[in-house]
Amino acid sequence: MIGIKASPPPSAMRARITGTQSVMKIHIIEDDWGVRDALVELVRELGYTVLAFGDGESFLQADMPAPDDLVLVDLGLPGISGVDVIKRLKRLPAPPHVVAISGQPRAQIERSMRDLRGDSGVRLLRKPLVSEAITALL
Amino acid sequence: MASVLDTAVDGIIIIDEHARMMMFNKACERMFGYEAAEVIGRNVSMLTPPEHAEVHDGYVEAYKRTGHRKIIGIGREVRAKRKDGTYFPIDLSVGEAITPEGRQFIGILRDLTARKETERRLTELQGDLIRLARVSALDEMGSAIAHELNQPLTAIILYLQAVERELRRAKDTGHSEEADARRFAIIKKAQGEAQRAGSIIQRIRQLVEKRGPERKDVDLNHLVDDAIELTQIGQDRIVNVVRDYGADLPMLQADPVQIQQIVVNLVRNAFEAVRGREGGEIIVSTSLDDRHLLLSVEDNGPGIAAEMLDGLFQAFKTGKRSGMGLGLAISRTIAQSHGGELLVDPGGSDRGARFAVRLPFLSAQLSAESAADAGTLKGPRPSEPKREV
Ligand SMILES: Nc1ncnc2c1ncn2[C@@H]1O[C@H](COP(=O)(O)OP(=O)(O)O)[C@@H](O)[C@H]1O
Ligand SMILES: [Mg+2]
Repeated sequence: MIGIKASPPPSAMRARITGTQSVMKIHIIEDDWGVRDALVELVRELGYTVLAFGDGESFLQADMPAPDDLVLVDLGLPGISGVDVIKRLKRLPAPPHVVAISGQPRAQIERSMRDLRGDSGVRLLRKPLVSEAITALL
Repeated sequence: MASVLDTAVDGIIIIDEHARMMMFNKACERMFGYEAAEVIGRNVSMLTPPEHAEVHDGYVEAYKRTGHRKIIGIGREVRAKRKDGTYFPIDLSVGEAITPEGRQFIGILRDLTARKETERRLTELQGDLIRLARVSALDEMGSAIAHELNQPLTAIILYLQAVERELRRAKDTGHSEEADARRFAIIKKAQGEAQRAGSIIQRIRQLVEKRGPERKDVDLNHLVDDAIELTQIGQDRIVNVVRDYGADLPMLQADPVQIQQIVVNLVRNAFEAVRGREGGEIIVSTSLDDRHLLLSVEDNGPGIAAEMLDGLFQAFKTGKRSGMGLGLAISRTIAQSHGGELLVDPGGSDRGARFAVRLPFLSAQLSAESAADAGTLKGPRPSEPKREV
C-alpha cells in the first residue's frame, strides 16, 4: 500500500509507516532534513501514515496521492519547484488536499503563488510551523 | 645666516663634534616647543627618545673615528622628543661640514606627524570600507538568512511538540523503555537543530562585528569551508559546489574574517554566473606553491564579458542590474593588504571564469631559515624596524 518503489530514489530519504487504522496518508515534500524529519515525527505521533520526500522529482516518481490524502509541499525546493509540484497535483482527475509551506518572505511567496491563481484550495503555512497548524488540517 | 635658516620650512639643527647644538631654527622651535635659547649649547640627545639619547654621543664618536655613516647623507625616519615629553616622527637627513672651528653636523628635519596621521586614517578608512562591504553583502542576504534560521526553528518547535504529545500520552499509558528511547532521540535531534541555528548566527556575527584588522594563524581550508556554507545560504542548491582542498597546508598569517570575505565575494559571483544554467558547478580549491597559499574559485558560467574585463577590479564596475561592483575591488584590496594578489583568468567561449588568490605564508620554520632574505617572505607588514639616530 505504500508508494515507495522497490529501490527508492536516494532523495526519498525517509518514509515511515504507522497507524494503519487511518486511511488518510500524509505526503511531505521538504528538502530541509531537520524540518522534514520533525514533520515526520509529529505526524507519525498523531497516528498517520507518512511518506516523506527530499525533492519534487522523487515525489512524482512515487505513486500519486489518493483524493483523501494530504500533501505538504515546501515551495523552495531544489530542482522542480514546489509550485510546479502543486500544478501537477491539481491536474490529477481527483486531486488530494494540498498545503504549501514556506519560510520565504511574503513578497517572494506571493510571486511564486501567483502562478497558481485559479487553483483554489491551496492553503499556505508559513515557517516557523507549529503543530496546531498541522493538526488543524487533519 | 641665522635669519635665512629661520625662514626655512624644514627644521634645521647644527651641532658641533661634541653633539652640542649651535643652531636651532624657528621651524625647530615650532616642532619641539623649545625656544632656541633654551637648547643652544646643550647636547642634542635632549631631543631624542631615551633609547637613542644614550647612544647618540656614541654615534658621533664612532663616525668621527671610523667614518662609518649610520645616518649621514641618508634621510631616515626617526622619532623625536618634544619639550612636553611627547614623541613625534620626523624625517632626518644629516650633512657634514668641516669648518675652521672643527667638524659640524647639519640636521634637516621634516615633521611627519601629518603624513603619519593621514596614513593611519587611510588604513582605518580602508578597514571601515572593507567592513561596510561585508555588512552590505549580508544586508542583501538578509531575507535568505531569516529563511535559513526559520528551518531549524521550525524543526525545533515540531520536535518539541511531538515529544510533548508523546509524554502527555505516556501519562495515561505509562512509560515503556522503547517509547522513552524514541523521546530521547527526538530531544537529541532538537538539540542538533538548535546548534545549527546557533552556528548560523555565529558565522554572521563574525562578519558584522566591528573590530580592527588582525593577524593570526589560520587554517585556510577551515576558513574557506565556513565561508562557503555562509554563501550557500539562499543560493540555488542545485548548483554543485566542489571542494578540492590541498592536504597539510601550512598555517596562514591573516585576518580570518577578511579572507572569508574574499571567499564569499568570489563564490557569490560564481553562483550568479551559473544562475539558470544547466549543470552549474563551482570548484573551490586550495593548494600550495613554494611561497604562497593559493585559493581558486572557478565556475562553468559564461566567463567574463569582454566589456567588463577592462577595469574589472575597479569599484562600482558591475555587469549586473542590481550589482554594487564592490566585490572584486574589496577582495583585491584585502589580498594586497595581506601581501598577496587576486588574479583572474576570464575564460569565455565555453569556459567559466577562474579567480585565484595568492597569499604569502610564514611558517615559523621557514622564517628562521630565510631570515636573510626577509621582507619578501615576511608577513604583510613587517614590524617597525628599529631605527637609530
Ligand atoms: N565568476 C564570474 N563570471 C562572470 N563574470 C563575473 C564573475 N565574477 C565577476 N564577474 C563580473 O565582474 C563584475 C564585478 O563583480 P563584483 O566586483 O563582485 O561586483 P558585482 O558582483 O556587485 O557586480 C560582475 O558584475 C560581473 O560582470
Ligand atoms: Mg559580486
